[in-house]
Amino acid sequence: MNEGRDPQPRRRTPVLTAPVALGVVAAGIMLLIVMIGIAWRSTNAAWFLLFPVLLMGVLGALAVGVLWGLRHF
Amino acid sequence: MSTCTALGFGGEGRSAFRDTEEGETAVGPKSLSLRAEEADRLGMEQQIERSKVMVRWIVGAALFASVLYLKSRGQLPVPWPTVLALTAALVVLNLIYWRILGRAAPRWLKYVTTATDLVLISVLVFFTGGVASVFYFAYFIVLVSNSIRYGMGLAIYVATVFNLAYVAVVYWQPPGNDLTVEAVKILTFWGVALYAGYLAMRFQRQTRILEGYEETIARLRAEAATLKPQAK
Repeated sequence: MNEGRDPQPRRRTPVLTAPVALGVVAAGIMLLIVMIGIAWRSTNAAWFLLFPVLLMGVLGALAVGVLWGLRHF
Repeated sequence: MSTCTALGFGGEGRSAFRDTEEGETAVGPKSLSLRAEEADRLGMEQQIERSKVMVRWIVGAALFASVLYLKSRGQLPVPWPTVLALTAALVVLNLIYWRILGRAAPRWLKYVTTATDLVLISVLVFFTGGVASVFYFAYFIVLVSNSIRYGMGLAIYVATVFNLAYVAVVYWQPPGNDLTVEAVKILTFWGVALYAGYLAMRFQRQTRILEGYEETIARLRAEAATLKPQAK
């Protein structure tokens, strides 16, 4: 019998804890507010070029929120 | 990179090994294995960043030569002090990174080097025609170089910093009222970043699977070797 072998598969460190998930969702809401603010008030078209990064942030936060809500992590 | 060499890293490297998944001080074989994995990862990052320093010398020299050539033909209205200041900044930063890498590869270093690369390229793009600059392609060197080496996380980071830096360039040097072309450029960059990150992620997964197979084969060989004398 090999004694060096682990008796059970190694558990990995949790990648997402409740405070982190909450922080990410809060950041996502902030980014959504910034997006709405730009769409509503901006007079310079250059600000709209920030939409890809803002949208990615919002979608990422949404994904984290949903996965946390479903207890995926 | 051998584990023994990597365990000799100071600062960030040492503190990274301190805790196990149980949140206790590392003592058992499991935590030793985690230490070795962390040391290997840091050793790998040190090698990657060293390689990036070499690539930065080559790309910097190529860009400098291109600027000189275009200036000599009168096709680039960028002033000499700007060219020299950018080159000097690149040289100084590269020397600082090399010095840091002589001791260890801190976790934050890859983010700093990538961000400074993108900022320097943005300054170059700004002074060489803004959105019409011929040096726009240099962003892709940073993107491909980092996403292939580090994976999806860095690819998204590069795309985010590029997005912010390029908007700053467009804001300070607007090409006109219609920014459709610039939007397409940014979206294309995001597309390339996500695709490169995805490919790197697949490659990393396959590498891990292969390592698992190699470990299994080695273990089975060792077990077979211990069983042979008993069979006789």
